[in-house]
Amino acid sequence: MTGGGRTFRYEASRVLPDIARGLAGFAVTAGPLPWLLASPIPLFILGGLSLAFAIFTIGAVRRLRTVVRLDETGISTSGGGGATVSWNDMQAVDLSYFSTRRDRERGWMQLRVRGNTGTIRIDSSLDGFRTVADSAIAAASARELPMTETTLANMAALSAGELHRPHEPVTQPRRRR
Amino acid sequence: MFAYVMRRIMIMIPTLLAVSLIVFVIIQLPPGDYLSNQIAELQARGENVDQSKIEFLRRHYGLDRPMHEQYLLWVWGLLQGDLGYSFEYNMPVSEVVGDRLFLTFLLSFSTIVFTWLVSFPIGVYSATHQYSWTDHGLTFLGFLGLATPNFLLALVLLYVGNVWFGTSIGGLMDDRYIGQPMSWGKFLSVLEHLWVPVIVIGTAGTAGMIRRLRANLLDELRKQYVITARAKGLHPFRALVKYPLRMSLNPFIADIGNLLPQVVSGAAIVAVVLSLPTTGPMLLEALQSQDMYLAGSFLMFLSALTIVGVLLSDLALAALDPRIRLGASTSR
Repeated sequence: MTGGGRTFRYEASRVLPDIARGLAGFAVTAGPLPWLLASPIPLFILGGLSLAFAIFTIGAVRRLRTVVRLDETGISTSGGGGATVSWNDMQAVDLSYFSTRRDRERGWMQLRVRGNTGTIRIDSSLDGFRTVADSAIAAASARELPMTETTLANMAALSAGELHRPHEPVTQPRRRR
Repeated sequence: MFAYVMRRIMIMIPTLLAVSLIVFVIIQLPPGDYLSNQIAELQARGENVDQSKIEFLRRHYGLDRPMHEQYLLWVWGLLQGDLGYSFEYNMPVSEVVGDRLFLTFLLSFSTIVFTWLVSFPIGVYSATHQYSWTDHGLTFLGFLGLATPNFLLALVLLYVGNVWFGTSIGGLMDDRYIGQPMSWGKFLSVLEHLWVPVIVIGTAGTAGMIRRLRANLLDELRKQYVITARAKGLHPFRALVKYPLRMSLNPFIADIGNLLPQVVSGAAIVAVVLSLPTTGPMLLEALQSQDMYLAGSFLMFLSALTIVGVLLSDLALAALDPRIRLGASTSR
Protein backbone atom coordinates (compact mmCIF):
# COMPACT_ATOMS: atom_id res chain seq x y z
CA MET A 1 0.00 0.00 0.00
CA THR A 2 1.14 3.51 -0.67
CA GLY A 3 1.52 6.18 1.97
CA GLY A 4 -1.29 8.38 0.58
CA GLY A 5 -5.00 7.77 0.53
CA ARG A 6 -7.73 8.62 2.98
CA THR A 7 -8.02 7.62 6.59
CA PHE A 8 -11.18 6.96 8.56
CA ARG A 9 -11.88 6.45 12.25
CA TYR A 10 -14.76 5.26 14.33
CA GLU A 11 -16.51 8.11 16.10
CA ALA A 12 -16.18 7.89 19.86
CA SER A 13 -19.83 8.85 20.32
CA ARG A 14 -20.81 5.68 18.39
CA VAL A 15 -18.40 3.24 20.01
CA LEU A 16 -18.64 4.40 23.64
CA PRO A 17 -22.23 3.15 24.04
CA ASP A 18 -21.03 -0.30 22.96
CA ILE A 19 -18.24 -0.17 25.54
CA ALA A 20 -20.77 0.86 28.19
CA ARG A 21 -23.10 -1.99 27.17
CA GLY A 22 -20.27 -4.49 27.22
CA LEU A 23 -19.14 -3.36 30.68
CA ALA A 24 -22.71 -3.48 31.98
CA GLY A 25 -23.17 -6.98 30.59
CA PHE A 26 -19.87 -8.05 32.11
CA ALA A 27 -20.80 -6.59 35.49
CA VAL A 28 -24.19 -8.32 35.51
CA THR A 29 -22.84 -11.72 34.48
CA ALA A 30 -19.49 -11.70 36.31
CA GLY A 31 -20.81 -10.07 39.51
CA PRO A 32 -22.54 -13.16 40.94
CA LEU A 33 -19.72 -15.57 39.98
CA PRO A 34 -17.98 -15.61 43.42
CA TRP A 35 -21.21 -16.85 44.99
CA LEU A 36 -21.76 -19.53 42.38
CA LEU A 37 -18.59 -21.55 42.83
CA ALA A 38 -20.58 -24.45 44.27
CA SER A 39 -23.13 -24.48 41.42
CA PRO A 40 -21.36 -25.70 38.27
CA ILE A 41 -24.13 -25.15 35.68
CA PRO A 42 -24.93 -21.49 36.55
CA LEU A 43 -21.20 -20.91 36.96
CA PHE A 44 -20.56 -22.28 33.48
CA ILE A 45 -23.38 -20.26 31.86
CA LEU A 46 -22.62 -16.95 33.58
CA GLY A 47 -18.87 -17.49 33.27
CA GLY A 48 -19.20 -18.05 29.53
CA LEU A 49 -21.40 -14.99 29.15
CA SER A 50 -19.03 -12.78 31.15
CA LEU A 51 -16.13 -13.97 28.98
CA ALA A 52 -18.13 -13.15 25.84
CA PHE A 53 -18.96 -9.69 27.20
CA ALA A 54 -15.29 -9.12 28.01
CA ILE A 55 -14.34 -10.03 24.43
CA PHE A 56 -17.10 -7.75 23.10
CA THR A 57 -15.85 -4.84 25.24
CA ILE A 58 -12.24 -5.37 24.19
CA GLY A 59 -13.40 -5.46 20.55
CA ALA A 60 -15.23 -2.15 21.01
CA VAL A 61 -12.15 -0.55 22.62
CA ARG A 62 -10.00 -1.81 19.73
CA ARG A 63 -12.51 -0.36 17.30
CA LEU A 64 -12.16 3.01 18.99
CA ARG A 65 -8.42 2.95 18.30
CA THR A 66 -8.70 1.57 14.78
CA VAL A 67 -7.68 3.68 11.80
CA VAL A 68 -8.90 2.53 8.39
CA ARG A 69 -6.74 3.57 5.47
CA LEU A 70 -8.10 3.47 1.94
CA ASP A 71 -6.22 4.12 -1.27
CA GLU A 72 -6.13 2.99 -4.88
CA THR A 73 -4.14 -0.16 -4.03
CA GLY A 74 -6.24 -1.51 -1.20
CA ILE A 75 -7.51 -1.16 2.32
CA SER A 76 -5.73 -1.52 5.63
CA THR A 77 -6.42 -1.12 9.33
CA SER A 78 -4.07 -0.12 12.11
CA GLY A 79 -4.27 0.84 15.76
CA GLY A 80 -6.61 -1.82 17.04
CA GLY A 81 -4.98 -4.78 15.29
CA GLY A 82 -3.63 -4.31 11.82
CA ALA A 83 -4.55 -6.04 8.57
CA THR A 84 -4.09 -5.21 4.92
CA VAL A 85 -6.02 -6.35 1.88
CA SER A 86 -4.81 -5.36 -1.53
CA TRP A 87 -7.51 -4.96 -4.19
CA ASN A 88 -5.48 -7.24 -6.45
CA ASP A 89 -5.44 -10.01 -3.85
CA MET A 90 -9.01 -9.55 -2.73
CA GLN A 91 -10.97 -12.82 -2.65
CA ALA A 92 -14.41 -11.90 -1.35
CA VAL A 93 -16.54 -9.00 -0.19
CA ASP A 94 -19.65 -9.31 1.95
CA LEU A 95 -21.92 -6.54 3.11
CA SER A 96 -24.28 -7.73 5.83
CA TYR A 97 -27.04 -5.97 7.70
CA PHE A 98 -27.96 -6.76 11.29
CA SER A 99 -30.74 -5.51 13.48
CA THR A 100 -31.74 -6.57 16.97
CA ARG A 101 -35.32 -5.41 16.41
CA ARG A 102 -38.06 -7.67 15.19
CA ASP A 103 -39.04 -5.16 12.50
CA ARG A 104 -35.39 -5.15 11.31
CA GLU A 105 -35.17 -1.38 11.71
CA ARG A 106 -32.38 0.72 13.26
CA GLY A 107 -29.71 -1.83 12.46
CA TRP A 108 -26.13 -1.60 11.33
CA MET A 109 -24.02 -2.94 8.47
CA GLN A 110 -20.79 -4.85 8.46
CA LEU A 111 -18.37 -4.92 5.55
CA ARG A 112 -16.10 -7.95 5.34
CA VAL A 113 -13.20 -7.83 2.92
CA ARG A 114 -11.24 -11.05 2.61
CA GLY A 115 -7.84 -11.20 0.96
CA ASN A 116 -4.89 -13.57 0.78
CA THR A 117 -3.25 -12.04 3.81
CA GLY A 118 -6.24 -11.61 6.08
CA THR A 119 -9.77 -10.38 6.61
CA ILE A 120 -10.89 -6.87 7.47
CA ARG A 121 -14.25 -6.26 9.13
CA ILE A 122 -15.64 -2.75 9.28
CA ASP A 123 -18.82 -1.61 11.02
CA SER A 124 -21.10 1.06 9.63
CA SER A 125 -20.34 3.18 12.71
CA LEU A 126 -17.11 4.11 10.90
CA ASP A 127 -17.07 7.71 9.75
CA GLY A 128 -17.03 7.36 5.95
CA PHE A 129 -18.31 3.79 5.86
CA ARG A 130 -20.18 4.39 2.61
CA THR A 131 -16.99 5.51 0.86
CA VAL A 132 -15.10 2.43 2.07
CA ALA A 133 -17.94 0.09 1.08
CA ASP A 134 -18.24 1.75 -2.34
CA SER A 135 -14.53 1.28 -2.98
CA ALA A 136 -14.54 -2.36 -1.88
CA ILE A 137 -17.59 -3.22 -3.99
CA ALA A 138 -16.16 -1.33 -6.98
CA ALA A 139 -12.88 -3.21 -6.65
CA ALA A 140 -14.74 -6.52 -6.36
CA SER A 141 -16.78 -5.68 -9.45
CA ALA A 142 -13.65 -4.73 -11.38
CA ARG A 143 -12.12 -8.09 -10.46
CA GLU A 144 -15.41 -9.82 -11.31
CA LEU A 145 -15.57 -11.45 -7.90
CA PRO A 146 -18.89 -13.18 -7.26
CA MET A 147 -21.03 -11.29 -4.75
CA THR A 148 -24.11 -12.61 -3.00
CA GLU A 149 -27.55 -11.22 -3.70
CA THR A 150 -27.61 -10.03 -0.08
CA THR A 151 -24.43 -8.00 -0.56
CA LEU A 152 -25.77 -6.39 -3.74
CA ALA A 153 -29.12 -5.59 -2.12
CA ASN A 154 -27.42 -4.09 0.92
CA MET A 155 -25.09 -2.05 -1.28
CA ALA A 156 -28.06 -0.74 -3.26
CA ALA A 157 -29.77 0.23 -0.02
CA LEU A 158 -26.60 1.91 1.25
CA SER A 159 -26.22 3.87 -1.98
CA ALA A 160 -29.88 4.86 -1.80
CA GLY A 161 -29.29 6.32 1.65
CA GLU A 162 -31.27 3.68 3.51
CA LEU A 163 -28.49 3.40 6.07
CA HIS A 164 -28.10 7.04 6.97
CA ARG A 165 -26.58 8.76 9.92
CA PRO A 166 -28.43 11.43 11.87
CA HIS A 167 -26.22 14.28 10.63
CA GLU A 168 -25.84 12.92 7.11
CA PRO A 169 -28.47 13.80 4.51
CA VAL A 170 -30.26 10.97 2.79
CA THR A 171 -29.23 11.05 -0.84
CA GLN A 172 -32.54 9.85 -2.22
CA PRO A 173 -36.09 10.14 -1.02
CA ARG A 174 -37.02 7.25 1.26
CA ARG A 175 -39.24 4.61 -0.28
CA ARG A 176 -42.77 4.24 0.92
CA ARG A 177 -43.41 1.04 2.88
CA MET B 1 -22.01 -11.54 13.69
CA PHE B 2 -20.38 -11.77 17.15
CA ALA B 3 -21.39 -8.17 17.89
CA TYR B 4 -24.91 -9.02 16.80
CA VAL B 5 -25.06 -12.05 19.10
CA MET B 6 -23.79 -10.02 22.05
CA ARG B 7 -26.24 -7.20 21.44
CA ARG B 8 -29.07 -9.71 21.29
CA ILE B 9 -27.92 -11.31 24.56
CA MET B 10 -27.79 -7.86 26.13
CA ILE B 11 -31.47 -7.48 25.35
CA MET B 12 -32.18 -10.93 26.79
CA ILE B 13 -30.86 -10.18 30.27
CA PRO B 14 -33.21 -7.29 31.17
CA THR B 15 -36.04 -9.12 29.43
CA LEU B 16 -35.56 -12.16 31.66
CA LEU B 17 -35.39 -9.95 34.75
CA ALA B 18 -38.58 -8.15 33.74
CA VAL B 19 -40.31 -11.46 33.07
CA SER B 20 -39.23 -12.82 36.46
CA LEU B 21 -40.69 -9.74 38.17
CA ILE B 22 -43.98 -10.02 36.27
CA VAL B 23 -44.23 -13.76 36.96
CA PHE B 24 -43.61 -13.23 40.66
CA VAL B 25 -46.11 -10.38 40.96
CA ILE B 26 -48.81 -12.33 39.08
CA ILE B 27 -48.33 -15.36 41.30
CA GLN B 28 -48.63 -13.12 44.38
CA LEU B 29 -51.72 -11.31 43.09
CA PRO B 30 -54.42 -13.69 44.38
CA PRO B 31 -55.23 -12.96 48.04
CA GLY B 32 -53.51 -15.18 50.59
CA ASP B 33 -50.81 -17.74 50.02
CA TYR B 34 -50.41 -21.51 49.95
CA LEU B 35 -50.66 -21.79 53.76
CA SER B 36 -53.81 -19.66 54.05
CA ASN B 37 -55.37 -21.85 51.33
CA GLN B 38 -54.47 -24.94 53.32
CA ILE B 39 -55.93 -23.41 56.51
CA ALA B 40 -59.19 -22.57 54.72
CA GLU B 41 -59.34 -26.11 53.38
CA LEU B 42 -58.76 -27.67 56.81
CA GLN B 43 -61.34 -25.38 58.43
CA ALA B 44 -63.86 -26.25 55.72
CA ARG B 45 -63.40 -29.91 56.66
CA GLY B 46 -63.95 -29.01 60.32
CA GLU B 47 -60.37 -29.78 61.36
CA ASN B 48 -58.49 -27.74 63.97
CA VAL B 49 -55.65 -25.50 62.84
CA ASP B 50 -52.68 -24.90 65.08
CA GLN B 51 -52.01 -21.18 64.56
CA SER B 52 -48.54 -21.36 66.12
CA LYS B 53 -47.55 -24.10 63.70
CA ILE B 54 -48.89 -22.04 60.79
CA GLU B 55 -46.90 -19.02 61.93
CA PHE B 56 -43.81 -21.17 62.24
CA LEU B 57 -44.26 -22.50 58.67
CA ARG B 58 -44.90 -18.98 57.38
CA ARG B 59 -41.66 -17.78 58.96
CA HIS B 60 -39.82 -20.91 57.85
CA TYR B 61 -40.76 -20.44 54.17
CA GLY B 62 -40.24 -16.68 54.28
CA LEU B 63 -43.90 -15.94 53.52
CA ASP B 64 -43.98 -13.31 56.31
CA ARG B 65 -41.36 -11.21 54.56
CA PRO B 66 -42.16 -8.24 52.30
CA MET B 67 -42.83 -9.12 48.66
CA HIS B 68 -39.65 -7.51 47.32
CA GLU B 69 -37.52 -9.55 49.74
CA GLN B 70 -39.27 -12.75 48.67
CA TYR B 71 -38.67 -11.80 45.05
CA LEU B 72 -34.97 -11.09 45.52
CA LEU B 73 -34.49 -14.35 47.43
CA TRP B 74 -36.27 -16.26 44.68
CA VAL B 75 -34.25 -14.65 41.85
CA TRP B 76 -30.99 -15.18 43.72
CA GLY B 77 -31.96 -18.81 44.19
CA LEU B 78 -32.79 -19.18 40.49
CA LEU B 79 -29.42 -17.71 39.61
CA GLN B 80 -27.78 -20.43 41.69
CA GLY B 81 -29.91 -23.15 40.17
CA ASP B 82 -32.11 -23.37 43.27
CA LEU B 83 -35.69 -23.40 41.98
CA GLY B 84 -37.21 -23.05 45.46
CA TYR B 85 -39.34 -25.29 47.63
CA SER B 86 -42.64 -26.87 46.70
CA PHE B 87 -45.13 -26.53 49.56
CA GLU B 88 -47.47 -29.10 48.12
CA TYR B 89 -44.89 -31.84 47.62
CA ASN B 90 -42.79 -30.87 50.64
CA MET B 91 -39.53 -31.12 48.73
CA PRO B 92 -37.30 -28.91 46.55
CA VAL B 93 -38.81 -27.99 43.18
CA SER B 94 -35.84 -29.50 41.34
CA GLU B 95 -36.65 -32.88 42.93
CA VAL B 96 -40.36 -32.53 42.22
CA VAL B 97 -39.69 -31.74 38.59
CA GLY B 98 -37.09 -34.51 38.28
CA ASP B 99 -37.59 -36.63 35.17
CA ARG B 100 -40.53 -34.54 34.03
CA LEU B 101 -38.32 -31.81 32.65
CA PHE B 102 -36.32 -34.29 30.58
CA LEU B 103 -39.48 -36.01 29.30
CA THR B 104 -40.99 -32.62 28.44
CA PHE B 105 -37.87 -31.72 26.48
CA LEU B 106 -37.94 -35.05 24.71
CA LEU B 107 -41.62 -34.70 23.84
CA SER B 108 -41.25 -31.07 22.72
CA PHE B 109 -38.18 -31.74 20.62
CA SER B 110 -39.79 -34.79 18.97
CA THR B 111 -42.94 -32.76 18.26
CA ILE B 112 -40.97 -29.95 16.62
CA VAL B 113 -39.01 -32.45 14.51
CA PHE B 114 -42.26 -34.20 13.54
CA THR B 115 -43.92 -30.88 12.61
CA TRP B 116 -40.98 -29.91 10.41
CA LEU B 117 -40.54 -33.32 8.83
CA VAL B 118 -44.19 -33.44 7.84
CA SER B 119 -44.81 -29.83 6.86
CA PHE B 120 -41.58 -29.14 4.98
CA PRO B 121 -41.93 -31.67 2.12
CA ILE B 122 -45.69 -31.15 1.92
CA GLY B 123 -45.29 -27.36 1.80
CA VAL B 124 -42.66 -27.57 -0.95
CA TYR B 125 -44.69 -30.11 -2.91
CA SER B 126 -47.89 -28.07 -2.60
CA ALA B 127 -46.13 -24.93 -3.83
CA THR B 128 -44.48 -26.63 -6.80
CA HIS B 129 -47.69 -28.46 -7.72
CA GLN B 130 -50.12 -25.65 -6.98
CA TYR B 131 -53.84 -26.47 -7.46
CA SER B 132 -53.11 -30.10 -8.35
CA TRP B 133 -55.20 -32.87 -6.80
CA THR B 134 -52.35 -33.81 -4.50
CA ASP B 135 -52.01 -30.18 -3.40
CA HIS B 136 -55.71 -30.07 -2.54
CA GLY B 137 -55.55 -33.48 -0.84
CA LEU B 138 -52.53 -32.62 1.31
CA THR B 139 -53.98 -29.22 2.19
CA PHE B 140 -57.21 -30.96 3.23
CA LEU B 141 -55.25 -33.36 5.44
CA GLY B 142 -53.39 -30.44 7.02
CA PHE B 143 -56.61 -28.61 7.82
CA LEU B 144 -58.11 -31.81 9.16
CA GLY B 145 -55.22 -32.01 11.62
CA LEU B 146 -55.70 -28.37 12.57
CA ALA B 147 -59.45 -28.69 13.05
CA THR B 148 -59.46 -31.92 15.06
CA PRO B 149 -59.43 -31.22 18.81
CA ASN B 150 -56.24 -32.56 20.39
CA PHE B 151 -58.01 -34.46 23.15
CA LEU B 152 -60.23 -36.26 20.62
CA LEU B 153 -57.29 -37.27 18.46
CA ALA B 154 -55.50 -38.37 21.63
CA LEU B 155 -58.37 -40.69 22.59
CA VAL B 156 -58.56 -42.13 19.07
CA LEU B 157 -54.81 -42.77 18.91
CA LEU B 158 -54.80 -44.30 22.38
CA TYR B 159 -57.45 -46.75 21.20
CA VAL B 160 -55.57 -47.50 17.98
CA GLY B 161 -52.26 -47.89 19.83
CA ASN B 162 -53.76 -50.24 22.38
CA VAL B 163 -55.84 -52.40 20.01
CA TRP B 164 -53.46 -52.57 17.07
CA PHE B 165 -50.03 -52.27 18.65
CA GLY B 166 -50.69 -53.43 22.20
CA THR B 167 -49.31 -50.23 23.74
CA SER B 168 -50.50 -49.63 27.31
CA ILE B 169 -52.98 -46.78 27.72
CA GLY B 170 -51.61 -43.40 28.77
CA GLY B 171 -48.28 -42.35 30.18
CA LEU B 172 -44.92 -42.13 28.48
CA MET B 173 -43.65 -45.55 29.57
CA ASP B 174 -44.82 -48.88 30.91
CA ASP B 175 -45.81 -48.85 34.59
CA ARG B 176 -42.88 -51.05 35.61
CA TYR B 177 -40.39 -48.35 34.55
CA ILE B 178 -41.98 -45.49 36.51
CA GLY B 179 -39.56 -44.20 39.14
CA GLN B 180 -36.78 -46.46 37.84
CA PRO B 181 -33.43 -45.11 36.64
CA MET B 182 -32.96 -44.76 32.88
CA SER B 183 -32.22 -48.03 31.13
CA TRP B 184 -32.35 -49.34 27.57
CA GLY B 185 -35.71 -50.99 28.26
CA LYS B 186 -37.12 -47.80 29.76
CA PHE B 187 -35.87 -45.78 26.81
CA LEU B 188 -37.53 -48.19 24.33
CA SER B 189 -40.72 -48.04 26.35
CA VAL B 190 -40.65 -44.22 26.18
CA LEU B 191 -40.15 -44.39 22.40
CA GLU B 192 -43.04 -46.86 22.11
CA HIS B 193 -45.37 -44.44 23.93
CA LEU B 194 -43.97 -41.24 22.46
CA TRP B 195 -45.53 -41.37 19.00
CA VAL B 196 -49.11 -40.82 20.25
CA PRO B 197 -48.52 -37.43 21.98
CA VAL B 198 -46.08 -36.38 19.24
CA ILE B 199 -48.71 -36.90 16.53
CA VAL B 200 -51.47 -35.36 18.65
CA ILE B 201 -49.55 -32.19 19.49
CA GLY B 202 -47.69 -32.02 16.18
CA THR B 203 -50.65 -32.22 13.82
CA ALA B 204 -52.12 -28.99 15.22
CA GLY B 205 -49.08 -26.97 14.14
CA THR B 206 -48.44 -28.80 10.89
CA ALA B 207 -51.24 -27.23 8.83
CA GLY B 208 -50.13 -23.68 9.69
CA MET B 209 -46.54 -24.50 8.78
CA ILE B 210 -47.58 -26.05 5.45
CA ARG B 211 -49.65 -23.01 4.50
CA ARG B 212 -46.93 -20.54 5.45
CA LEU B 213 -44.20 -22.40 3.56
CA ARG B 214 -46.45 -22.89 0.54
CA ALA B 215 -47.39 -19.20 0.41
CA ASN B 216 -43.79 -17.99 0.88
CA LEU B 217 -42.41 -20.36 -1.72
CA LEU B 218 -45.11 -19.41 -4.23
CA ASP B 219 -44.20 -15.74 -3.76
CA GLU B 220 -40.54 -16.50 -4.38
CA LEU B 221 -41.18 -18.76 -7.37
CA ARG B 222 -43.03 -15.94 -9.13
CA LYS B 223 -40.12 -13.53 -8.85
CA GLN B 224 -38.23 -12.50 -11.94
CA TYR B 225 -34.90 -13.99 -10.95
CA VAL B 226 -36.47 -17.46 -10.81
CA ILE B 227 -38.13 -16.98 -14.21
CA THR B 228 -34.79 -15.76 -15.62
CA ALA B 229 -32.95 -18.72 -14.12
CA ARG B 230 -35.43 -21.13 -15.67
CA ALA B 231 -35.37 -19.33 -19.00
CA LYS B 232 -31.60 -19.64 -19.06
CA GLY B 233 -31.96 -23.39 -18.68
CA LEU B 234 -31.07 -23.88 -15.01
CA HIS B 235 -32.20 -27.29 -13.80
CA PRO B 236 -35.64 -26.95 -12.11
CA PHE B 237 -34.40 -28.56 -8.89
CA ARG B 238 -31.46 -26.19 -8.65
CA ALA B 239 -33.68 -23.23 -9.57
CA LEU B 240 -35.88 -24.22 -6.65
CA VAL B 241 -33.30 -25.04 -3.99
CA LYS B 242 -30.60 -22.45 -4.67
CA TYR B 243 -32.53 -19.29 -3.66
CA PRO B 244 -36.36 -19.54 -3.58
CA LEU B 245 -36.45 -22.32 -1.01
CA ARG B 246 -33.86 -20.63 1.14
CA MET B 247 -35.71 -17.31 1.06
CA SER B 248 -39.05 -18.93 1.82
CA LEU B 249 -37.56 -20.51 4.95
CA ASN B 250 -37.25 -17.15 6.73
CA PRO B 251 -40.74 -17.11 8.30
CA PHE B 252 -40.35 -20.81 8.97
CA ILE B 253 -37.28 -20.13 11.07
CA ALA B 254 -38.76 -17.00 12.62
CA ASP B 255 -41.47 -19.26 14.03
CA ILE B 256 -39.07 -21.26 16.22
CA GLY B 257 -39.37 -18.65 18.93
CA ASN B 258 -43.11 -19.12 19.20
CA LEU B 259 -43.00 -22.85 18.64
CA LEU B 260 -40.95 -23.79 21.72
CA PRO B 261 -43.21 -22.39 24.46
CA GLN B 262 -46.32 -23.23 22.44
CA VAL B 263 -45.35 -26.87 22.31
CA VAL B 264 -44.52 -27.01 26.03
CA SER B 265 -47.57 -25.12 27.31
CA GLY B 266 -49.99 -26.25 24.59
CA ALA B 267 -49.29 -29.86 25.52
CA ALA B 268 -50.72 -29.38 29.01
CA ILE B 269 -54.28 -30.48 28.17
CA VAL B 270 -53.03 -33.35 26.01
CA ALA B 271 -50.75 -34.38 28.88
CA VAL B 272 -53.73 -34.49 31.24
CA VAL B 273 -55.75 -36.60 28.78
CA LEU B 274 -52.85 -38.94 28.08
CA SER B 275 -51.60 -39.00 31.71
CA LEU B 276 -48.18 -37.90 30.54
CA PRO B 277 -45.54 -37.37 33.23
CA THR B 278 -44.57 -34.00 31.77
CA THR B 279 -44.51 -30.52 33.28
CA GLY B 280 -47.89 -29.32 31.93
CA PRO B 281 -50.25 -31.01 34.43
CA MET B 282 -47.93 -30.13 37.30
CA LEU B 283 -47.99 -26.46 36.29
CA LEU B 284 -51.79 -26.47 36.29
CA GLU B 285 -51.87 -28.01 39.78
CA ALA B 286 -49.25 -25.60 41.07
CA LEU B 287 -51.19 -22.59 39.80
CA GLN B 288 -54.43 -23.87 41.32
CA SER B 289 -52.90 -24.47 44.75
CA GLN B 290 -50.74 -21.31 44.71
CA ASP B 291 -47.61 -23.39 45.13
CA MET B 292 -45.71 -20.22 44.25
CA TYR B 293 -42.16 -21.48 43.80
CA LEU B 294 -43.20 -24.49 41.73
CA ALA B 295 -45.52 -22.39 39.53
CA GLY B 296 -42.98 -19.55 39.33
CA SER B 297 -40.18 -21.88 38.28
CA PHE B 298 -42.36 -23.38 35.56
CA LEU B 299 -43.43 -19.99 34.25
CA MET B 300 -39.83 -18.79 34.27
CA PHE B 301 -38.88 -21.94 32.39
CA LEU B 302 -41.52 -21.23 29.73
CA SER B 303 -40.45 -17.59 29.48
CA ALA B 304 -36.80 -18.55 29.19
CA LEU B 305 -37.76 -21.01 26.44
CA THR B 306 -39.57 -18.22 24.57
CA ILE B 307 -36.65 -15.85 24.88
CA VAL B 308 -34.07 -18.47 23.93
CA GLY B 309 -36.30 -19.61 21.04
CA VAL B 310 -36.60 -16.05 19.72
CA LEU B 311 -32.83 -15.64 20.08
CA LEU B 312 -32.18 -18.84 18.14
CA SER B 313 -34.57 -17.88 15.36
CA ASP B 314 -33.07 -14.37 15.16
CA LEU B 315 -29.56 -15.79 14.94
CA ALA B 316 -30.61 -18.25 12.26
CA LEU B 317 -32.35 -15.47 10.31
CA ALA B 318 -29.34 -13.17 10.62
CA ALA B 319 -27.07 -15.94 9.35
CA LEU B 320 -29.47 -16.93 6.57
CA ASP B 321 -30.38 -13.53 5.22
CA PRO B 322 -28.40 -10.54 6.58
CA ARG B 323 -30.22 -8.18 4.23
CA ILE B 324 -31.58 -4.73 4.91
CA ARG B 325 -35.31 -4.30 4.44
CA LEU B 326 -35.80 -1.42 2.02
CA GLY B 327 -37.65 1.44 3.63
CA ALA B 328 -36.60 0.51 7.14
CA SER B 329 -35.21 3.47 9.06
CA THR B 330 -31.66 2.87 10.21
CA SER B 331 -29.66 4.98 12.55
CA ARG B 332 -26.06 4.04 12.00
